[in-house]
Amino acid sequence: MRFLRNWLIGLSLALIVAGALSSYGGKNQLRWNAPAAPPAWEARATAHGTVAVSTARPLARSVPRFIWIPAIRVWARIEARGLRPNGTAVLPSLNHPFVTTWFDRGPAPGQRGTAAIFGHVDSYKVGPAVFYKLGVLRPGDLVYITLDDQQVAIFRVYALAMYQKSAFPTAVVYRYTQWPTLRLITCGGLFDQRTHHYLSNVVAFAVYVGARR
Amino acid sequence: MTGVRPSGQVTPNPSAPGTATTFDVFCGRQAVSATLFGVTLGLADLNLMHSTATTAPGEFVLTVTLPASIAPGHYHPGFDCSNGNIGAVSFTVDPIPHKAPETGDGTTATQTGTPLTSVGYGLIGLGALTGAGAIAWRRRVAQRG
Repeated sequence: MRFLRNWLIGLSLALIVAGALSSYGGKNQLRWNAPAAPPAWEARATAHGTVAVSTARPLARSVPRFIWIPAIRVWARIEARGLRPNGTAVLPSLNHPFVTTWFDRGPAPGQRGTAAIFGHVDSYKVGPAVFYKLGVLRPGDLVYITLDDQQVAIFRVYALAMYQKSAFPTAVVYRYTQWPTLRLITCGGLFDQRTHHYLSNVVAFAVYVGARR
Repeated sequence: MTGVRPSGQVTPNPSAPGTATTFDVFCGRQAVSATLFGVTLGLADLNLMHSTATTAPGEFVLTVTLPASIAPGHYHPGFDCSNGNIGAVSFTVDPIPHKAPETGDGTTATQTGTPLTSVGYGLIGLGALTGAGAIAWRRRVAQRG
């Protein structure tokens, strides 16, 4: 009996020590993995002007409502938003981290030109947000945009890039294309603890391949 | 001046800052050159337009990249033809976002405390309970003895 009691006391001490080590170790580790970044070759490819041409017939303008990206399991609502007075795009609220916004002063998805959709990479409310895995996308992955007229515009990813925010190439990202293209944009790279901002943006470039009802 | 009314079109329309934009004008068959006035677009004052293998006689084109700083709005740049005709083309410049978007608050980059933390707290609790039980047991045995 004495042996059993001593054994229990020893076990309790071992559990307490193991618990202390485990909680200390966990407390000093990041709770989530850092958001995925595109591989370096992708950024180079985009910088050198990788383009994908679409021969599919463009669609008439219709407001996008939902986005579905099977490769990263994203299914999200799209809200139409414009520009702030300071010239930046109006973005989703951090209180709604699984909502995306479409820049409605530019083309709609499926129209000729470049449509832009923004989503958060993370949010204090939930941790990983709607575009947390955007950097995991690879050329060939499909993006489905449900439009207000019930058509679904289908896009194929052809490149990914990560740009420093201080040198964000707005002309490369938003420039007009003679065929319908899509940009999915979120934050990424290092996080500046001093300014509380990510230092980079991850951009997925996609080209329109057709529509279905 | 000839009796032909000069005309023109812009592609794409609407265009956007930083976008390659083509101006295509028709001056009349007798014209051998044309000039686009670019000051209002933030371009050079006079921009010589060209005829190409695919343009008709008296038709001239010019492709320029609109300045990234051009303001959104409606533009009507004029053009001048060598046969004395003058005209203007109309097009719209749509806005584009000017700065990089802030799409995240760094939660995944900064927040610490993995499931290991919870497991650790659980082990500490379990150890404390086991220890307390063992000590109580020993006291009870000692009281009986």
